[in-house]
Amino acid sequence: MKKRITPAFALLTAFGVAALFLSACGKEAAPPAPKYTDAPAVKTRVYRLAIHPLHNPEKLVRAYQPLIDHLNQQIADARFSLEASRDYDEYERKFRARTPDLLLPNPWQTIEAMKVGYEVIAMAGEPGDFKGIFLVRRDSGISKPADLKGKAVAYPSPTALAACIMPQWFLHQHGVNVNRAIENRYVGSQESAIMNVYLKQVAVGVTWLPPWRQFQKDHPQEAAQLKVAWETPPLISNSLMVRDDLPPKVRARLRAELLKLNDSEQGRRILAGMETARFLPATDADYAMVREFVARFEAQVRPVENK
Amino acid sequence: MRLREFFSGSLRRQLIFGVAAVHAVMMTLFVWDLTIRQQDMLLDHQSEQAQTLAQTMATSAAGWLAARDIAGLQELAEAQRRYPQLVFAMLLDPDGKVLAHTDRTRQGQYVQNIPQVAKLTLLVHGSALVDAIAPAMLADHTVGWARVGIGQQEASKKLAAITRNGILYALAAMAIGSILALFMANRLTRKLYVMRRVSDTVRAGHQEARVPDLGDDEAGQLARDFNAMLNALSSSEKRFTNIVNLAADAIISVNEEQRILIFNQSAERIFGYTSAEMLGQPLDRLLPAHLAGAHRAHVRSFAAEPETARDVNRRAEIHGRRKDGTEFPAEANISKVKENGNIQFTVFLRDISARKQAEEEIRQLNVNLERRVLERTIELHAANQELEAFSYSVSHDLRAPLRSIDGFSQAVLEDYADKLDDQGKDYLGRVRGATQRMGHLIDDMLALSRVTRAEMRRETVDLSALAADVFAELQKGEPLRRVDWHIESGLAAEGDARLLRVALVNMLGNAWKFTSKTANAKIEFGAASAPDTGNAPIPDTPGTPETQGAPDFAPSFFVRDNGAGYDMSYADKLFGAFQRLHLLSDFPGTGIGLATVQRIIHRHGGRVWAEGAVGKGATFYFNL
Repeated sequence: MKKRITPAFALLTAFGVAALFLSACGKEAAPPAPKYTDAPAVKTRVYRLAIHPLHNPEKLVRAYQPLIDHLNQQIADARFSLEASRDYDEYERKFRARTPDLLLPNPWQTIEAMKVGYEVIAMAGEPGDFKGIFLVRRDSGISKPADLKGKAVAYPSPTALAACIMPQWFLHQHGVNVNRAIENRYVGSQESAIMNVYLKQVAVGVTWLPPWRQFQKDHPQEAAQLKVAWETPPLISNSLMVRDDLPPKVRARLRAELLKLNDSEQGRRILAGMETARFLPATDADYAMVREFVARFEAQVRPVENK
Repeated sequence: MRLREFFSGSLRRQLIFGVAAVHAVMMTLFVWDLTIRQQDMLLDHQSEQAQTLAQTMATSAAGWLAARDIAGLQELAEAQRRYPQLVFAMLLDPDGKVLAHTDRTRQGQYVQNIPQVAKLTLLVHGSALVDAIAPAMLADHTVGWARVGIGQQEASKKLAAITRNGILYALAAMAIGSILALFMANRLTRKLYVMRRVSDTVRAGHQEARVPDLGDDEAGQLARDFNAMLNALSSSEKRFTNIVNLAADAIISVNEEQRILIFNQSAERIFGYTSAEMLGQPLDRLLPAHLAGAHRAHVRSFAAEPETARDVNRRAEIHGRRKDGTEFPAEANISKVKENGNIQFTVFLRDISARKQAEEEIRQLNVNLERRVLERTIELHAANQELEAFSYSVSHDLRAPLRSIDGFSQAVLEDYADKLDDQGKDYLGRVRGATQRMGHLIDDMLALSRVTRAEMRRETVDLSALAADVFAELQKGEPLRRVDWHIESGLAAEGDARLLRVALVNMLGNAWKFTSKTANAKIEFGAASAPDTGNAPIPDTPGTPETQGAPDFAPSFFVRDNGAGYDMSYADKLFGAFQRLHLLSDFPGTGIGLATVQRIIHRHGGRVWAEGAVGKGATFYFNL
């Protein structure tokens, strides 16, 4: 028997199909998640070089990333990366936890790092260049250290050797009671100390030569408002240290590359960017004098760290 | 196929489904477009948000990433939890190591799909997730990555709601449109269905059925046109039926199976069957049994050939068989018409029994007639020969005594002149004149006889030259006469030169004679190209049907003079033998000349006639 399709049946079928489509619209697909693995895509070991916070992170990267890139280019079976730190405390916490593979600490941090197993393989910069400077506004009227009495002085950190310990020793030597005659403000970084004096938050900003040279390049107008009031005597420059578990081969290649940086034009450009004259051969023994200086400072001025 | 029939089976269905389909297509396109636009808009919005968030995170975290401050980075990552629909937020080192993550269990793991180029990138841009990654840059160096994933669940829900609502609206529009289409289709096609019912009724045989008045719209107009068409069809059908029934021939239509579809009244009369008896019957019933097979074959061959009509008798004489079993000869034509793939043959058949009988009778009559004509011809020939022999004999035999009379009369006048007084001499002179005239008369009669008997030798004759020659002879006979002759040059005709010369000699001689007493005599020979009917020509054989009043399209020649002329009331005597209209003393002659002319012209198949008036000359026309 021939069945007839009625218009009503056809319309009902069409609406039914549409309803099925409608019901399918409500279902949602699960969002795709990122894919995670436990191993890095690149198997080459990465050695992290932690620079003491002589600059804020951006400036630090601008100054030191060329060195990292150079090392990565020259040393094929190792990769190096740069690690900044928000402040000196953070930096010191890191090396005490032995997380960085390489360190570029100031002389005081060098002797501290030795305690946790880091070893000096080179000195960064000429020893005579390692001295603290006192920056004042040109319109401040401050001419001698005694003028600082009752005023605020900005430092990057209480553990900064050239930018704090040595200047406070300088003030102490010039009859200023660092602990009572002035207000010590530790503002976290070299640039912060400079900006504090420029912004008249303090009477004097204390830093050391490389950051001051960098600031003059980056902010010539602001720098023109400032002047170096006094300099401390030099002590010894920063070191470059490696953790004692670093493969000897990498350690040797690294030391060799650092020491011959000054031999090439490219190396000299890298050194200039870091406001570092050159890398000199050095060992832990070269920094014994720092330990002596700190001992004197702590005995006469204050403990470097509040323990 | 059934589905196709269903959708296109009627205008009503086509209209309903057409409107529903238009609604469905339009609304589907609308909903689809709306959904796509909304989806794109939501995705773009989410993408912008994800990229902005990733970029902000990267900027914020750059310093901490450089310092590898895990705790700070984790705080930063977890701070993003407040962001609605956030699926994950993570901060990575340059190698893709997870330094901070909203899911802390992911810390220390690696993600693989880090972009090769340090730029803001959308890793996933789907309907469920927008995954954006932004490089954290310090001094143009990548110190890490910030990556965020924002879920699309809310957006998907909104989108699904929009789609669902759109489909509901579309379905509602389709339903409403279909219902409206149903009403509209019913209303629009109602009148068509009325017309269709009428059409079915007419087809069922009720020729008088007509569509009622359906208003003034297109359907109403169509209904009126439909009725007009039915009226015209009905009239045509009646005319056709009348023509078929009134036709003298039998008209029989058969289908391809050669079964009878039309059997008109003449067919009933010729074959003796009624139409009711023959409709649907095989054509073989109307054929002699021994011819039926051949006839079927002929019809089949005709069906296969391209010609549309055929004279059946062209191939063989055909015969029909009446209801009483008698056979009759017939003449028929057959034609074919292809209609709806079927061929219909129509035969026009005529009973030619009577004609056949009449033809036989005529044939017998012709045989008898021919026999009788032959007999009469033989009789006439014998009589004619006898008559001519007699005429010749009489003429010849009469000449001898005439010569004796004339000769002896002359001898008396010469030998006995002194013995005769003047009166005697006058009498003898008259005897001689009479005998000489009789001699001329006999000569003319012999000439007339020769004209009738002489054998015709047709050739092209230069009539102008002939006339000039005759004129020269006449002038030579009477050198002192001055006649103004005019002979049209170049006149020629097909005929016997000798006989035509005799005819011209007589006609020109008459003109010469009858102008002898006319000052400034003028004779003309020429041709008239058009028939001269306006001047009431005198027929040469008045009262004979072959000449009287019949237009003459052959070139006519004429001989015209300005001589004595004649009285038209005696015109019927002009061409009779021995008939004279003038006194012999005035114009000599025997009265044979024009009779001779007429015979010569008749022997050439032409005719001759004249016109004239007493004292005003005469014109003799002839053609050949």
